[in-house]
Amino acid sequence: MSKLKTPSAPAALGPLILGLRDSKLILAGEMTHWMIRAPTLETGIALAALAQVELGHAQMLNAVHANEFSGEGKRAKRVVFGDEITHPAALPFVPRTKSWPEMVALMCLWDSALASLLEALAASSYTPLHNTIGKMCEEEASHWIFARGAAADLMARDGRVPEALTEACRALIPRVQRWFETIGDLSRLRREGLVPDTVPMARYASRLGPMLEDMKLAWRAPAAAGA
Amino acid sequence: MTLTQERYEVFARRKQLDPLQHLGGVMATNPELAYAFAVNTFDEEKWQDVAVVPRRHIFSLTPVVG
Repeated sequence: MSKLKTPSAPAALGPLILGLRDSKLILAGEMTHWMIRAPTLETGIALAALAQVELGHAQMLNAVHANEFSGEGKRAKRVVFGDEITHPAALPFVPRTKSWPEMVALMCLWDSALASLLEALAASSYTPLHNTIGKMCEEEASHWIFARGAAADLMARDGRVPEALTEACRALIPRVQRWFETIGDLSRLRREGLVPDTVPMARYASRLGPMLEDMKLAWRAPAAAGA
Repeated sequence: MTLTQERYEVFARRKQLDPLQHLGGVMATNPELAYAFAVNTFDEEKWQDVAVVPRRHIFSLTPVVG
């Protein structure tokens, strides 16, 4: 196992890993909720697969924390639905989405925010994260395709559906920005070389920017993350 | 809601040098959703590549059946 480059790394990274774990657990719960309420059977099947992946990621992050930070190792409890969400960045996302446009907005804005942060950690100088989080990033790629497709589907519909998605995104933007600000001290992690580059955050901006501009929504890239 | 679904044909290969094989079709309103539906519907194998093509883009001298 590689040694930490800075002695403060566990203190800075540990809560971040827990925040990502809690966020993944909430997302998995949301996907499971919408699995049987999705607009089409195929969408429900896709959500079931995505939920399984998100829950798996929560387990993996839990194991990373147990092995690298808390010292619990294999004694750590497995993550299950219904576990108490404790991380302050994840807590505002506990209330369930109330409509399909809200869920699509959540996948577009928040799931991709998680993916961007994981991409940053996969490039971290803290090598124990590389393999585990690298695999997660590979699996996240198809999540964005699904979210973008679901958003395009809603935006092409008649009536108030596109407006509902726009409103859901508008309401979510400040919550996601707050999530970036509270998930961890990203600027410190960057200074210490633990989150070394800004490319993943720039990718988040380039992913979402065009979609939000189409919706005439103003937003700022997550500055705390260095974008 | 007047948005219409269309059929996408799904192709995949197991390994990089394998030829693409036709797996079947999915109905979707756009290519991204078609891809997401395809990878989660035809998940009996771990495919190296999955591709979707709108059926209307397949040209044939004889009508495409199925």
